[in-house]
Amino acid sequence: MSYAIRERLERTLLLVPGVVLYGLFNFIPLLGLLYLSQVRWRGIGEMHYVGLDNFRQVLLNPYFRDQLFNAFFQNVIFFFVVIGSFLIIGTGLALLLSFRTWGRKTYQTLFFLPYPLAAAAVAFLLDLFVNTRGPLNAALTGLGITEAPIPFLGSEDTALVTLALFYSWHRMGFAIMLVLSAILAVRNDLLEAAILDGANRLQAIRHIVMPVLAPAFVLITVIIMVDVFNNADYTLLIMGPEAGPLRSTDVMGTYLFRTAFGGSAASVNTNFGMAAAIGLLTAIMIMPAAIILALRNLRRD
Amino acid sequence: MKHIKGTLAGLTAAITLSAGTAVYADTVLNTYTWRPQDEALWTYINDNNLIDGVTVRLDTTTEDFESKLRVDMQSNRPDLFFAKAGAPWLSSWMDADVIAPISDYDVDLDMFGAAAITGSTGSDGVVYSVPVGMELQAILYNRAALEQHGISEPQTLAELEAAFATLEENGIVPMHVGARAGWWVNQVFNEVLIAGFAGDDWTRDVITGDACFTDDAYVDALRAVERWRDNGWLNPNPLADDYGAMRTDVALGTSAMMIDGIWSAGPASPMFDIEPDLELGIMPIPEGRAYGFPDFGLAANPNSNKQDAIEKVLQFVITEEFAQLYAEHVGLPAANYDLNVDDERIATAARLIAENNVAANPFFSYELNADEPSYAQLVADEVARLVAGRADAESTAQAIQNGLNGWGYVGADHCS
Repeated sequence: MSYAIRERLERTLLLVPGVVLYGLFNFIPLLGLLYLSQVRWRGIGEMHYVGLDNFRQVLLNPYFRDQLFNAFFQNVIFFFVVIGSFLIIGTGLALLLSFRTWGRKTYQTLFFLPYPLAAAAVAFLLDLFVNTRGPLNAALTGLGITEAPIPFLGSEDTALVTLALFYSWHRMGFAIMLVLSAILAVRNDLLEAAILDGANRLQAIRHIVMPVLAPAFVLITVIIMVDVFNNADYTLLIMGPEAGPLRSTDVMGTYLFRTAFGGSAASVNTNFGMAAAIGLLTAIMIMPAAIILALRNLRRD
Repeated sequence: MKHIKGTLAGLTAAITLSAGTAVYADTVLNTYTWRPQDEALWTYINDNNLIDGVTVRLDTTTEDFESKLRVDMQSNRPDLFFAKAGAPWLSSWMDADVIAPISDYDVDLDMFGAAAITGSTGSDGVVYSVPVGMELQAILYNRAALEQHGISEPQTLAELEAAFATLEENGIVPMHVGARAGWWVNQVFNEVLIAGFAGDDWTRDVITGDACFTDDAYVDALRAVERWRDNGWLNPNPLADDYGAMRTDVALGTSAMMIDGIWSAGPASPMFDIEPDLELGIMPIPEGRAYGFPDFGLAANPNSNKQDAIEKVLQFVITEEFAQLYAEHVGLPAANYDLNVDDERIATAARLIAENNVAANPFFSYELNADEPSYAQLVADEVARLVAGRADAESTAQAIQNGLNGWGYVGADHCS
């Protein structure tokens, strides 16, 4: 057997487990999702094949279409609040941790501490924290900053951003660790050369550290994008599938959940087929951005 | 040593035999429910062998009950299940043939009132569950909060609103709404308002499509809410407060009244954990109808292989003995007997339901909830908007009407 054939065979054999697993757990369910999106089904009893009617309903029926666009738009806002806080606050904290300052290890532990906590526990604690009777409002009114408690989760203007900040606080440790590991990969000799050439700390960060961090930023962006468009744990846990107040915290995940399992207000007219259609539309909506970012990262590598 | 061994062997054999006998003595019926408050009752029934040869084992799922039922029905479980009231809820189980008509069993439903039977009837007119207890939803008020300001139970709408004004002047929230909870908005708040303001004719006619949501009968109910809101008689952040926050404030006396079910005034209510000396009064909207409905029914899986045992349970549930036990253990009036109970709360609820109940329940009607957006969903969204000050009474009613017209509900041709 020639070396080239042997190499190709080895490569193929190495790929087989991954392809089989991907096929079993991703590709076949995806095909199932395609079929499911073309039926009307309440999760029990007979499935009724309706062709593309679920897509037609979601995209053309004003009741469903408005919810789709509202959820997507709010998901984008949610994403930008999260990614903004990760990239700005997370990078800032990672940079601070990268300096050999006193108490660095303690801070590192403190920043990472919320990350392993269960989302349900975090949601419950933070809900209590921002409640109109909670400690945050008690402090704000006690210090005379506000006259009356602020309904952080009870106002359409603040609820979505409050939930996004919950998410950011909980998972900030993940962003800090990724950025910090990228910072630690910066070559010391380059930094030393820059300092010898007269660069100050800020200039060294801007011209040497930041370019090295770019792949980490892209990685965080793609992971967070996929996560916040497909999951809705905080909204579901705190606001329920109705995503109140007045749907102001509705994101694609809550819309999909409500369609499949019903909201708390009315849980009779459920349709798993339409939920599958919403899932596919979500994938189509975020796929271009995710692919572009990933390809850009690959090209840079 | 030999004696010890022999004794141990004998004991083991005896225990095994008795356990085996116990297992084979009763047919165990797996019964799904979302109501933990019923567990003590069924434990009592099982412990006292009140249903000969049958043990009802409750499996309680307080969250997402429908999903558990949906998944487990695919592997032919459970034998019995608690069914929520109303044709819309029953419809998916009917379509999947996993709920048996009660006429399949030798069970006499003649003792049940119209309201109870309506709640157990599917869209095809067939009764699918045995109604168990009746609920009453009404205004619940903190007696101490009213008495402190010299207010007695209002008998007219004018007296109610005068009481609101007095309470508000004294720094107490007159009426607390927990509009963050959509289920509370549509099946508690709005339905009590309809019973109180819209009356029998409109509630009957709106289900058949002969009356519209834009009629004055309904808009007047919404106008009352708008008036209460504009006068500052509702809590300042209704969308921030969920069901728990509403009950907490009424228990503490910082709010005087709320619209809720009498379950909140029962012995198991968490409101008494907040304020053990709390006394709650119950009244419908003054000058209006009361809103009583069957809380749930007991339904059977037609594919279970324990049909004889199921029939025994259903036959027991319709007896006066069960009704009395239900009132004592769960604290709700029975759906089929006029019981003689000492509990003032149960007696009041039973009297109001018997004498003054509204004729129909839009929330339970299939005609208004058969498609999306359903009446229940529209009310949850639009009435919350009204309460929060984002809409007025007329636009709220119009939005509900437009939403229903969108899928051509029964009144679409008649109501613009």
